[in-house]
Amino acid sequence: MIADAADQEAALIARVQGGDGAAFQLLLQQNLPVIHQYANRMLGNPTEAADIAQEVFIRFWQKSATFDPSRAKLSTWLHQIAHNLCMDFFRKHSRLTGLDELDEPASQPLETELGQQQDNEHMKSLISELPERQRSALILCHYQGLSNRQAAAILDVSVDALESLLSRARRTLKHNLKEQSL
Amino acid sequence: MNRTEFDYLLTCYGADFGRWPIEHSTIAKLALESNPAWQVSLLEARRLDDALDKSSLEDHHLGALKRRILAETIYKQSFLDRFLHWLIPAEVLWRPALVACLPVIIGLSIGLNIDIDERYTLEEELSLTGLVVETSTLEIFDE
Repeated sequence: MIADAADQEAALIARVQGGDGAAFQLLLQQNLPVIHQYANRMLGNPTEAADIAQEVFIRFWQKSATFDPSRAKLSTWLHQIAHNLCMDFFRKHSRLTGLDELDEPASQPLETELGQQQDNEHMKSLISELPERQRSALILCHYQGLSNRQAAAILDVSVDALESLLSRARRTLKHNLKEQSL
Repeated sequence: MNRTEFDYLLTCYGADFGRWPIEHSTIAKLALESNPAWQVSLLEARRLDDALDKSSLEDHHLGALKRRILAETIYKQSFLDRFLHWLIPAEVLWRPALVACLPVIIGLSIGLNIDIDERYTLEEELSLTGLVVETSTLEIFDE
């Protein structure tokens, strides 16, 4: 079943590489929601996320010939383009924090900090405060449902480095949740 | 798997073993069964997962965005490109075959539907080709 889906996707990609608009529409239909969701979680703004998603699919259409389906999944490649565009966006708008290497907060028990009062917006703002690469690692693995290898490929790091980013992101979130609940 | 490894992987991937790398998840489940005290770490990680899951996004209608993308991609193709991709798609061969047969089909249908008066056709053809034809010759033909 999985092999069938992969074969179907490879066939559609081959058609897009040959300039087939119908195949492109099918892949757009399948992948647009997840790519928009990723950009929206990264940027925290659906309009800017739409611009990023649009650019991702324009690049897919223009550069599909450079994509080799035997080496990576299409969703990995599209997420990689989206990630790079988000990083460019942060650089352009001077929002890149570069705080990935800061010391992580000390681990603390999570007994009281996560009450029912932690609402949607609160959590979103805590995630948006994470350094970009930690945020991206967390979003890719937790919300986008990608494997550790896919996420590592998107961020262009080793699996060990990805785990380090994830670990720091989750520790920071725990720490900030505790601080704000005090 | 020892406690330190288990805790580290929990910190990376959370409490849902479905999100763990497959090579670790099975071992972790077995280790958890034989070490009930590790449940404390699991519950703590689950609380953070639950908090993360509360951060849902509003549903966005992406129809307008999809149209914008199509306008910037496939609808920007030249007419010739679109015609060629229609004519020779990757997986369908009947279209080029049909187009190749089209002149033959049109020729046959025209040929079968023309009503020709044979008596005058020869005269017309001879005069059209500019040959000098004497009346006596025509009489021979009539006979």
